[in-house]
Parts: sequence; structure tokens; C-alpha cells
Amino acid sequence: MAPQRRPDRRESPSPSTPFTTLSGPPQHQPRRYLLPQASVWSRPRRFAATVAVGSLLLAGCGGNPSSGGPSGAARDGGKAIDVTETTPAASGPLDRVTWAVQNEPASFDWIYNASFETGQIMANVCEGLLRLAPDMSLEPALAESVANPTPTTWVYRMRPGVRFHDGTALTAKDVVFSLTRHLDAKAGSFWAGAYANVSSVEETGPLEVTVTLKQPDALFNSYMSSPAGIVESEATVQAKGKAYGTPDGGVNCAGPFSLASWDKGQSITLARDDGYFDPKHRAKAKEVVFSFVRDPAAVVNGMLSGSIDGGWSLPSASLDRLSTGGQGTVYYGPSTQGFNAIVMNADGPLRDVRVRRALSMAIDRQGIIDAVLRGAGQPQRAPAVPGSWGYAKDVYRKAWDDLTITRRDLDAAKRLVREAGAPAEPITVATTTSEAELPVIGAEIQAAAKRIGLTVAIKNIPPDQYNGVYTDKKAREGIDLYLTSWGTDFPDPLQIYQYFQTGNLYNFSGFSDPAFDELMTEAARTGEPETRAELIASAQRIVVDRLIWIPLYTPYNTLFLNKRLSGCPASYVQLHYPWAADLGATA
Amino acid sequence: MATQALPLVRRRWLPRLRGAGWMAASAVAVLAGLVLVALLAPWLAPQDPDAVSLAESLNGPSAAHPLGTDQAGRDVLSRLIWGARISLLGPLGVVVGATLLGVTVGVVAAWRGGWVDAALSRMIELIFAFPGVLLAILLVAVLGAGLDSTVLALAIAYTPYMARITRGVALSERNRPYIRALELQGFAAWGIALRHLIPNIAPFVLAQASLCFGYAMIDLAGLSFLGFGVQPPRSDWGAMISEGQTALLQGMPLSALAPGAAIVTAVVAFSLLGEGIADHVRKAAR
Repeated sequence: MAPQRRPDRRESPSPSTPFTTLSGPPQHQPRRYLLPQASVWSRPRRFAATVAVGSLLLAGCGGNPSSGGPSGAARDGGKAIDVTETTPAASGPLDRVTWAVQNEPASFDWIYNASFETGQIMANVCEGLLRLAPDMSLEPALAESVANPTPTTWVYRMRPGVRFHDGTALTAKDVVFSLTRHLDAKAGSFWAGAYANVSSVEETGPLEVTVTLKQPDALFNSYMSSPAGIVESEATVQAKGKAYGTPDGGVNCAGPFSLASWDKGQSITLARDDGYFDPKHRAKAKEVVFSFVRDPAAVVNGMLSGSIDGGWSLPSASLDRLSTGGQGTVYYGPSTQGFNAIVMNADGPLRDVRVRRALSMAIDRQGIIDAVLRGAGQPQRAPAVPGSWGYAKDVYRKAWDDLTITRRDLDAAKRLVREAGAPAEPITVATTTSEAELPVIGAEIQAAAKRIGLTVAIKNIPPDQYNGVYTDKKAREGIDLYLTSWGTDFPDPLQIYQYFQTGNLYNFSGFSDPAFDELMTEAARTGEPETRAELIASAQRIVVDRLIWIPLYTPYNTLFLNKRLSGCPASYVQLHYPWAADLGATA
Repeated sequence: MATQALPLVRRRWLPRLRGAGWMAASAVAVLAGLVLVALLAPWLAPQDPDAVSLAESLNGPSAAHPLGTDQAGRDVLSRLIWGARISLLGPLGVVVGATLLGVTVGVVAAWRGGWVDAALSRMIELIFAFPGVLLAILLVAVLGAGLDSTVLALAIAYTPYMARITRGVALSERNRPYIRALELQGFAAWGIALRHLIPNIAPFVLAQASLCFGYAMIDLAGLSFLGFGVQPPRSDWGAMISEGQTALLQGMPLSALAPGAAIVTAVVAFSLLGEGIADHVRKAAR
């Protein structure tokens, strides 16, 4: 039975708390950002901004004997890791920054912005109604204020005087056009799920837009910090037609940088927009060049030689060299991402929850973190990681501390296997060699299973097929466990737990529990943060007890900055925050 | 009806191998050593090659681990020794498969001539036009990843190489008087081919097979590197290089360099052996 609903804050208009996150179960294409496996060492950096969040995240993981440290410094063979939301503030302007990205964006059209590379570049070019601040809270971007006069109405008032990169003024019509484009089924927006409960988007004033929902959907407002909330010039999209968002057509947004050039297969160059509307985030660098460098070794060598100034999501194997190379600093930030072994087939050898629990209890999570991440991560206990607790953190922390199912206990695991009986067929774990961490994690799961009397077969599959699992049912055939990084786009655990609801597109194993569904529905209708968090924590307990996803670890967000640069955030906001604007010369 | 071989032509290739030169002899010695290592793996390997020990991840060389450990903490030397089995058996499977198919196709084409020869030749050219590794990847997509699939795929991809050389030498052999004589005596075509023709073209086939072995080893290593070949926890040298990539970035090159060196050694040895045989076959033919 769902907990009693408390009074909903949304029932009275509350302009003073415009950024309260609410909940709802829209679906969207999941981002599958494979976070860096950070390796680590001790660095005596202690910034004033070294965050409480980092400490809280780590504190949230305390209590597990196999977890890292209980403070803001994680352990790595006796060395400490500082987890920080921001890098030291920049002190001056820069002419040019060269940034490494592994892949070239497929399109700059915001409705197709769902890759790590596209997101981190576009975040500096196209602004949305809201953005994620370095502390991962929602903050206003193009919207000056947000009101929620009724549970099904969101009113966004735009800042006056905002201009697109071509100098034309941003109007409410552009906002309506940009948001409505996600509703066009023919356009095929990757973010259409965010609009699943939207019935209309209307201009209700010269600089005011009202979104009406079919039913309360608390996540909708949070989605406005993602590409679902980006605003583009309607005239540009209409004029460019099919060329819009391509290297030939470009874009015309209102971010701190404009798209200056796109050299196909080579690089994308952003130029500072001196007319940018937000003085706080006006770019310090005149030009930022994103070079497409596919080979991680080339990226590392570029950073060590000084030809590449920085990059996100660093290969874990390179962190020691980058941190000791003398060219710059590696930063670790909090993240909303987690790494899980997802049960794909609930009718196969993992059909008995005792077998799943036994396997979970046998896995050496700290060993994986030490070997793969070199200590730069925390054991994970639930699909929603501490970085995704955007509100009611005490509630989530208590719920997290109560979760022991991922605690390592080989004797208990063996007992469970004896009780359940080892399945006759092997448990097939899918891995791919294109992601360096997967074979090692697969090997550990295989070894862990062997220790408790289970048999695991590793199935190595090509990268395209591996990623195809999300959308192609056939690609899931023959896979019992699938290893992947998955997290939330913004700090709200509700987003990740919606994938466990009956019939959800990403509910691969067909998990269905009426009590869970009821809790989620109730949470989606509950605006009061504490109550919602309690509802979600109860739902989380069901998911964790059933182990539909076996949580493994939550890695830190990694960032390298050449010693001449500083200022950008280190937390996992690079997809929804104009981070390059903060980059400037070091003191 | 029993057939009787003509001793003069049937055994003429045997002496050629004896004079294949010191390079080929060295290659044979190296290969014999590798085969021995593969055969004696259970006794030679100091550790369980699949024993994961994350606490020992990427340790440097030590008495317990002479070549250090990989990222999963497994003993690199033990994996190298055990990996020799699959690394040698895989190419052997490819070469045996390609030889059986190629020799059959080549001999049938040469023997029958006419439209059969034309059709088989076009088929060979068609497969030639398709890069072997690409063909293997396509087949793996259908059959699934694994050593069996990649060996089968590469066997098909290597068949044209064997078929082409077989057809060439079989054509000239087909027109020799002893074949005509056997035909006139009423021997069946398949019997003549099996008992007389194929043994007489065997040196050429052997030389080609030896060269193919080296190439197959590289291709299989490449496919394993990409994850299409042998599946964990079993490992061959190609898969070991793939597993050792991240260690390279960490300044721990042994887990990738050791299998790389083993592949180079084996491939060079097979190439030298193949070249040696081919040289002697050519000299003898003159």
C-alpha cells in the first residue's frame, strides 16, 4: 500500500519556489553515457568549492564494509581522491581552447541530441529554458521565472532582450515552436517521451509560454534543463529545412557560443557570442575547438603534449599518466550515472530471485572499482545513485544505508544457491571489447559465479549489436545479464525508476509489480519532496529486493584541464550546462 | 579396382623438403617449440590462466607472475602459454578447412575443364573480391561470435587461395602422360586424382598452406581482438592484446606486448617455412 499522500506544494502557485522538481513517468531515449573509469591518486587539492555534495555522496555510501571512504576523499591504495563540483575559478580570458571529443556529432538538431559528444558541445551553443547548475540543481536559463499554478500547468516567462546568434530577438513564438517540435511524431524527437503528458504549448504573453499537461507530471519541468527544453529560432529551422543542424546548415541558438564552423570528420569550432544574455556566464574564451579524436591513446598523448587542452570522461587507464604528466589536472566530480548488470531474461537461469541475490552478493564491487576505476567510484546499492538525489537527500540516504543486498557475503551467497539450486544452464553475460571496462567486469562476474557454484558464460558481441539491445528485442535474445552505465538526466531518482514500470519500453525483463506501479504513480502525483522521496524509496526497495538490475558501482565524472585553464564545473552537468563559457585562464 | 601409383612421380616431393634451407629449419624448430608449449600447457603454466584476482590487477613481473598480471589480475604468462593452444589450433583449422575445400575445387576445375572450370573460377574470383575479415564478420553476425564461427568463416575466405594454386598446378599435372595412361587403363577419375594427382601437387599445396597459416593466425588474432573470436574466459593471443590495451595506457605494456611478440614469432616462422618449401619446389620443378 502506498504511503499517505501529503499536501501538494503545487496546488498553490508558488513563484518563490519556481524550480521545485516534480515527478511523472514520461519516457525518453536513455542516454548511455559510459563514464570514465577514473584511476586515481592523491592530490592535495582542496578547493573552497569542494563540495558538500561530494562528501554527502560518499557519506551516503558509508556503512558498507567494502565501500570506499566515508568522506569527500575516496581511497585508492592509501591515496585520496577529492570529489569536487567545480574547478578553481578562472582569472582571465583565453584566445583558444582545444577540446577532445571521441566522436563527431551526427546532428546539431536539438531534438536528436542524445549522444555524449553532441550534448557536451551543444550545451554551449543552445540554451534551454532551464539548465543544471554545477551543484546539479535546476537554475533559470532562458526562462526568467517558472510558475506551476495548477498541477497540470507550467508557465515559463522568458528573459527580455535575449537574442539568437544571428541577432534576431527570441520570442515566445520561438519557444512554442521549439517545444512543440517534440510533439511532432514525424520529426522523431529523441526527447518526445518528455512530452508524453503534454496536451498543449501556448503563447500566453509576449514573453510567456504555458504548457498544459494531461495529468500531473513532475519530471516535465526538470526535462526543461535537458535538450527537451532547448529553444531555437523558428525562422532558422524553417529556412534551413533539411540542412538544419548539419555541417552545412548549422544552428542559430542563444548559447554563450555560436557554431562558427564544422569541418566534417575533423573538428567543430565555437566562437564567443558577445551579445549573450547572461553576464554571469559570458564566455571567457574567444574560441573553443572540439577535435574528433577516436583513439584514447591519441587523446592522452595530445593532453600530455599540450596540443589538447581538455576533455571529459577520460579513459581510466590514462588517469595516472595525466595526473602526473605535469601538463594539467584531472578532476573528479559527482555523477548521476551508475553501472549495472541488467537482467534481460527473467525466464532464464536468473528467473529465481535467490540466484540473482546470490550473484549480487558474490561480486567484488570494491575490487572492480579498484581494478577498473582505480578507486575513483563507489559501490552502488540501487539503480538511482547518490548523485541523482536532487531533493530530500536524508530520505534517500537512509533508504540507501538500509540496502544490504549488494554487500559482499560469499557464505550467504552459497547458501542461497544451495537453497535455490544452481540453474542447469549457464548465465549468459554480454560484453563488448569496444568498452575497456566490460571484459574485466565480465571476468569478475564469471569468477564470482564460479565461487558460489554458478556458471557464467561470457558472450562477446560487436559494439553495434551491443548498443542495439536498447531498441531491438532480437538483439536481447540469448542474453541474461547486460552490463551498462545508466543514470538520470537530472537529479531525480524518479526518472530511472520509471523504467521498471509495467510495460515501459526499457523494462527489458518484463518486470511487473502492482505495488511498485502504484508507488510510482503516487510519487508522480506528489509534489512535496519528502513524501515523494519516501514513495520513491519504497519503490526502490522493491526493485532492489527483486534485483532486476544488479547495481555495481557509481563512477565519478572525470575531467582533464591543461594547467593554463580553469573555471568549469567538474560535476556531471556538461550535457546541460554551458561549461565552456566558464573556462578561462588560471590565476 | 585398385590403383597403382607411379613411384617416380609420387615420391618426388619428399626429398625437396629435406633441402629447404636453414631458415626453414629454424622456422620448423621455432614452430615445434610453440607446439610443444601448447601441448604441455597444463604442466608449463605456473598459474590458472583464468583465475581472476582483482586485488592483483596490473601487477608488474614477479616470481609468482614472471610477465605480470593483466587488468583482471590474471597471470599473463599462464594465459600466454594456454593461449598458444587456441592460437595454433585456430589457424590449423582454417588451413585444413581451406585446403580441403580449395584442393577439391581446384582439382575438379582442372580435371573437368569447360564450363565447370569457368563456373568454379568465377566463384573463386567472387570470394576473392570479398575481404576475408569482412566475410568473417558477416558470418559471425549470422552464426554468432566464437572460435568455430571465425574458423569456418576464414576457411571459406582462404579457400580461393588454395583453390587457385591447386587449379594451376593440377592443370599442368592433368596433361601429363601418366594421368593419360591411368585413364586409358580404366581407372576412375577420383581414384587417379586422389592417389596420383594430389600427392604430386602436394608440395605446392603445402607451401601455400604454410603461408596461409601465418596469415590466418593474424586474421584470427584480429578477429579475437575485435571480440569476434574465442570467448572469455578462454583466450588466444589476439584476445590478450585486446585485453592488454588499457594496460598500455597505464604504462604496463607486457600484457599486450607478450602475446604480440608470440604472434609475430609464429607468423614469421610460418612464413619462412612456407617460403622455404616454395623455393625448393620451384628449384625442383626447374
